[in-house]
Amino acid sequence: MSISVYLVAAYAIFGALTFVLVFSMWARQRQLQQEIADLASRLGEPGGAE
Amino acid sequence: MGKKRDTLGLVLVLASAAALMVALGMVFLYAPREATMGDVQRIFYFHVASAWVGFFAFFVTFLAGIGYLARGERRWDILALSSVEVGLTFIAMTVITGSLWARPVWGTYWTWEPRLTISAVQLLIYVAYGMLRASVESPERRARFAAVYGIVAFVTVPLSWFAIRWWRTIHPDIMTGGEGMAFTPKMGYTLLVSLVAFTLLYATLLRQRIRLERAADVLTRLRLRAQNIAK
Amino acid sequence: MKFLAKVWVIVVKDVAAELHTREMVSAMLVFAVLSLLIFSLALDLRGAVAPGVLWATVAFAGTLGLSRSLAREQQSGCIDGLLLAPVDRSAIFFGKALGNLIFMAVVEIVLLPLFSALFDVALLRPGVLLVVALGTLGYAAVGTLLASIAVNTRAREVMLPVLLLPLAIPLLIAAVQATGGLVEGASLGEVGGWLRLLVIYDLVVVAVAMLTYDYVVEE
Repeated sequence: MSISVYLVAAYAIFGALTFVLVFSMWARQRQLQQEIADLASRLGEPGGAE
Repeated sequence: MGKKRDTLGLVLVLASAAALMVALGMVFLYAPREATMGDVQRIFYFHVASAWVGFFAFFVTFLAGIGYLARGERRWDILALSSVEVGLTFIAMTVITGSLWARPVWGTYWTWEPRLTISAVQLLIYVAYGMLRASVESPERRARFAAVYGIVAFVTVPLSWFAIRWWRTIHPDIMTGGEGMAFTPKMGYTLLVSLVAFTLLYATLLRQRIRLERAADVLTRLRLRAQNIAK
Repeated sequence: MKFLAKVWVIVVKDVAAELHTREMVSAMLVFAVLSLLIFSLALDLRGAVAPGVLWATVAFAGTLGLSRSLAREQQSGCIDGLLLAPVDRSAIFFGKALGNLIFMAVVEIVLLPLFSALFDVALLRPGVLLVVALGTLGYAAVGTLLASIAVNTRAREVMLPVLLLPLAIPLLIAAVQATGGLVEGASLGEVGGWLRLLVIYDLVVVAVAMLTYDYVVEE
């Protein structure tokens, strides 16, 4: 099979864009989990002081 | 919180990965070499699959918009925006790979070929949808406006498709002329498997995006509570 | 008050307000003529490019008018007043859309003869006028719906072209192709396909706007 540059580039794009979305979601999810854990521990019991 | 096993999510990830691997195998090993275009034609399978998802995702947003206007529940809005983000990624793939395919086959990076043109239009619509959402402060208004835009935008897409098709029939691109691809049954199966794989991938990514948005909502609620306590 | 009467009241209010200052329509007109000038400097408008340039100009001038019309509405607080009154929301839509249609028509009444004269293109024939009417109608309808949204965003008027133009593509393609065909001597029957597309577009857009305008305008 003759490897065309364009063929490789195209499949690289499929992979790259999927990866970009997945990574972006993973990074945002991590950030959110951290902030949630942070706030949740600071709030402690519902209605608790501080 | 959020630590329990996500079985459905796991199943989707595995199914997508498996389907994609099978599809890739078929694309490169099973599908025949195309007569006129050569191996570059193999771009076709994933290119069409991503186009299918790119448009299907907007259909989902359209339905979610109707759901939101009818029910007023946040989960419809979450579905709408999640499908846009995932759909945007896929339609971007479609446009870029379409361009990469056009170059060796027709000698130009862009051609006003119907499928490529309508994909570009869909891309613009997705971007407009995103910009609209980013430009509205109130979450309730944002959801409402986005829902209306999603609905009206979606109904124009089939009209755009026909208009572009007819336009291109009357004034064919000197570059491309016709489709010129010799289609065989093996290609059909490869395309089918690619479509299934990409649909599974869409479902997987959609689900993740929805969970992400729900987590964001949790954070917002917590912040609100923290604010109220501080008062 | 009957539905049509409500619509008419809104149209009259808008047109009267504009007649008072005439600032919006004159701005649209000046813009349209300037567009023509710039296009003619860049291109040879006597050729096949003419219909495209015409509709591009109408589209951009229309965007100007639509933004302005809805922005003015918001500033004067009129919409809130209308909402308090027992007026069916779709009457507000029809009233505003009709007003916008009238403003665009005024600009076109000046633009078309000017275009015809300057660029030797026979635009003032019934077929072309029909296409212009259908195209402007659809544009005013979808434009009014989207302008009502756009004016309530942070970006305001700037948001309208972004929202409107991708949705106006089928309308613009059909209008340009039909105009072009007619100008080159085709009969109405020959551009029938494009005319049908325009009519379908108009019907679809008006239907969607009627169904969703409530949700755009509610507080």
